[in-house]
Amino acid sequence: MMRRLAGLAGYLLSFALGCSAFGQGVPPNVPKVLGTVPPNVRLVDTQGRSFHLHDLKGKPLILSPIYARCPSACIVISRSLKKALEQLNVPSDSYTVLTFSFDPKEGRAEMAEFQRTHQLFRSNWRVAFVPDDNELFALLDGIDFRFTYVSEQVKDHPNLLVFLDKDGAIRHYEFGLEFTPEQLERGLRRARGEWTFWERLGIFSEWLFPIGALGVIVSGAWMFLGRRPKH
Amino acid sequence: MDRFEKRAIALALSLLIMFFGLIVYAAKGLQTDLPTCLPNARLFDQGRIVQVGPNRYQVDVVAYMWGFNMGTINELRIPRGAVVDFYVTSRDVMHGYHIDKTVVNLMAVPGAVTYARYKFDRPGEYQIVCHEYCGLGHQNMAGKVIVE
Repeated sequence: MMRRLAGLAGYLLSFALGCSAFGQGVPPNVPKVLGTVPPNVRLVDTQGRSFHLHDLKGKPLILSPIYARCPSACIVISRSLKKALEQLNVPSDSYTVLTFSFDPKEGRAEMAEFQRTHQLFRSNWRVAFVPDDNELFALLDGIDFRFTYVSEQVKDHPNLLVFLDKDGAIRHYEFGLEFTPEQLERGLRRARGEWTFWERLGIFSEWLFPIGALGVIVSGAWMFLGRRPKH
Repeated sequence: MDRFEKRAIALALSLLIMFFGLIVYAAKGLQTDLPTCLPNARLFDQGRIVQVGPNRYQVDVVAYMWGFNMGTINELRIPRGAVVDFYVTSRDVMHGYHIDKTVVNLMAVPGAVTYARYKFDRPGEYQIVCHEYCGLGHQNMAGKVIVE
């Protein structure tokens, strides 16, 4: 009985957490940034090593913007990313993961604590922060990531991963709280430029509505104006 | 159908197509940031301005009968070049929030939050008006953004 109640409580908590995290923040304008290269900002990882974003070129890169003091979504994102990476059927040396803080008030100590708490240790996973605030916002603008300030402890933000190709250009976004190996595989595949026929067709889906609406107006006008009175 | 009637309809349809085409062109071609409704955003009941980064600001706007609370009432001061995220809601009825000479043109809806981002490159005063009739004091519901 107690086990069932605990299970139900866990389910309700997860549901509430999911509801509170999903849909918050301003979604990125994906078509605007696809194909663009985010700026070559300087980052510092939790070991204190300085590097530039473009140093990671040469293989696909998964960007995971989070903030270390996040009480909910970022924890779920990072834990699910860790789990999905463990199950991913792609060689770990063929891509890189970069988790970085979007909160300008967070530095090495906060990110190191976050990494330690959630055990985000993999050879191809770097946890870092951008020390220069101007560069940080340039990077956030580069991936069109917008967060909402609620309080010093709480920021609302979209829950996403960004996939960059080996040349550093943005190729794909995945949205959600709990990421699956399938989502990572899809993102990495697109970052490698391997699109299926249906995925290529899907690129044009955003134009379907304008084209359809235009067609309705034009064909409606043609039918209406072209009608001849019966004698 | 009379030929003049046909011409009037054809003209109206042409204008409609042009209008629709310009919206698509603005969104897809110019990649203009369109104002957005955030249906799941966290609600707030107090206006405020917060500096979130270097020359980056977040302004929470609470519209009410008949004024705008943006931390200060009806007035907002920001430095030149500031990038401002506007989050707008209403305390009572539907209002409008339009900043003249900008693309910030939002509805203030009770129980919902609308959003727009704008970079103020030019110093000066930008008038804010409510463009949704909201009651007897509607005509007095105005404010300004002062870019220094």
